[in-house]
Amino acid sequence: MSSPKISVPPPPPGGDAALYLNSLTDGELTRRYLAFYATAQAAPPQDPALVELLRLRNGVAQSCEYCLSVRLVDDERFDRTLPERLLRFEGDDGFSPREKAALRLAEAFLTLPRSLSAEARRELLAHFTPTEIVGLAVRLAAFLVNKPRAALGIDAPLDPAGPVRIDPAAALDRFQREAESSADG
Amino acid sequence: MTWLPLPAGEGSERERLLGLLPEVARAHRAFLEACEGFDGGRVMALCRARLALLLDCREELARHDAALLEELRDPARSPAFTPLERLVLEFAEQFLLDPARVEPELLRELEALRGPSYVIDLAAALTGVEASLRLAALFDLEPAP
Repeated sequence: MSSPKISVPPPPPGGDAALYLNSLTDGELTRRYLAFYATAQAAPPQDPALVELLRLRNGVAQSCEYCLSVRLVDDERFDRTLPERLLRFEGDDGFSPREKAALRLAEAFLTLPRSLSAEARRELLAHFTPTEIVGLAVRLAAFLVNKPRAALGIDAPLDPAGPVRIDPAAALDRFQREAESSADG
Repeated sequence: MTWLPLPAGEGSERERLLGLLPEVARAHRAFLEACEGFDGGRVMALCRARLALLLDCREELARHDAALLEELRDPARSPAFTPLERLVLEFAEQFLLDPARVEPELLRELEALRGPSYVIDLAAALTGVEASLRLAALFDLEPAP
């Protein structure tokens, strides 16, 4: 179980670590981030399962327990074993060629972004339009918000017992309302 | 030149690339400006340059002079930076490489100088800066003219 590495109280038992860290963060930064996140999620491609793969791949990259404890879509593949499988996606027949093309983009973005090979670029352009590729990349950029949680040790899982399904639109709405009320207060 | 086919037009490659998604571009710019302005901007400018070296982000590297970049190759040994700046740069590097392994001792030192709120907001600001650099490096964007 993660615990804060800085001198703030831990999130309340059963609380949401992401909401808690937002409440401690400068309100203007949080509001602007959430506005960016919302527009990024509205960008093409509108493919929730594919986007969830990228979100979870980022959760693995940052070792964010909170990210890995939630699921934003229903898909039988998205069980507890998925994070491990995402690290070895190339040889996994459970991922389509289109998903693998997007996962290569994520892999480069999260490690050495200039390392995306010419072949991987060609494969991406075979499956996605340039606008969709930018749409995937800005989502990856938005998902990096889990880095402060991981760095500061404020990334406790939503439920240690296992992944929790949450509705992404409702969650974003709640985050935005909390940010507004925090700013008003 | 970026590898992504972009429509011909005016503006930098960043503007043309993000211009494919105008609403995202506006929101991203607003978030990035808030991040880059954290604590007056100087410390984040140093972080941008240091992280650009680590990510080989040529769009960002072109914004900084060669002497500064040379100092930033080993900031812990450089007299060009204050103790706070050196700590922030060390944090930025650990944050970029593996946030889960940021050393608690480093965080305690930062907290001792500026308090926990500073550390929390610094982490949020670094997120925006790092994300922008990763985007630029991923698409290999040309420096702005």
